[in-house]
Amino acid sequence: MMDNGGNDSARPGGPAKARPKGTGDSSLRARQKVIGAGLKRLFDDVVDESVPDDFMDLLAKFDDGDQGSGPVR
Amino acid sequence: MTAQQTAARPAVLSPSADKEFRDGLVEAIPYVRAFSRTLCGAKAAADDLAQETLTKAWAARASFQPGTNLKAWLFMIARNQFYSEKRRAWRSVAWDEELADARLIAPSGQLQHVELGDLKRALTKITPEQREALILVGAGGLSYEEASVVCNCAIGTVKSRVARARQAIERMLNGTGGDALPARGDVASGDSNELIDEAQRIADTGGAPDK
Repeated sequence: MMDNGGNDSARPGGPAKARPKGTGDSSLRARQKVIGAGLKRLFDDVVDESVPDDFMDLLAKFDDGDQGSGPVR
Repeated sequence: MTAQQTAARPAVLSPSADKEFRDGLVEAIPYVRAFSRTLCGAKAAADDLAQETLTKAWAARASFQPGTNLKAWLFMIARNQFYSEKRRAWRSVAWDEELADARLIAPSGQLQHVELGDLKRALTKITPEQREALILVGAGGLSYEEASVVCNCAIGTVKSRVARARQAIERMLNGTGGDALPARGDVASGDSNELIDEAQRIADTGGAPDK
């Protein structure tokens, strides 16, 4: 059963789950790696955006108005 | 359980502790924006949420444990805020302004690749719980344990959600299984209602309960 003659449409594994998922299937692992990299990219795209000025303005307000005594808004 | 977790009493920190906290917030802004984007999808709504998150975090700064993961703490506030207001998550599609994203992602040494637009579409098709867990761990860099705190669930639950999310996305991107991606362009029309319902259900159960 080990020899499947290089059939490129054969899916390894079959119904029997003798080994833990993912460990015996390098192509699945490769696909998961690609998905992981894509996710990271989606997230990092936003992380890498320049932060809009609003945000720094907001934090500057924390600094000035809200130190210590907690004024009513 | 109450919805008061993030509504701390007036903070009293020393000026230097305040400054340190504020510096931490500045560093965390890009990550809070990114996580908010994954919750809200659209940029403007996400930035509103991110700003609310920072404001709440500042008000609650005395309850932050120095030395713990500030990013995870902020994600938790963002998430609570998002669900407590029952905002509509993923009403159409996430990252909607750039859905037609044909950039190919292929880690070095890999023959496989994925189009980012396809990945975004796949993310709209998994449950919000799975999506959130996958994003926190797979993109946000949180440990399973930190993610479990953010999501207010057990570590094992986070692990199984991440695993199921990965499997589902992998199946969709490979066009196998019963839930291959719909044709380009018609994602938001029909199935988004399901997602809205699910987001609503989470808001009712997992998030901040409010009747």
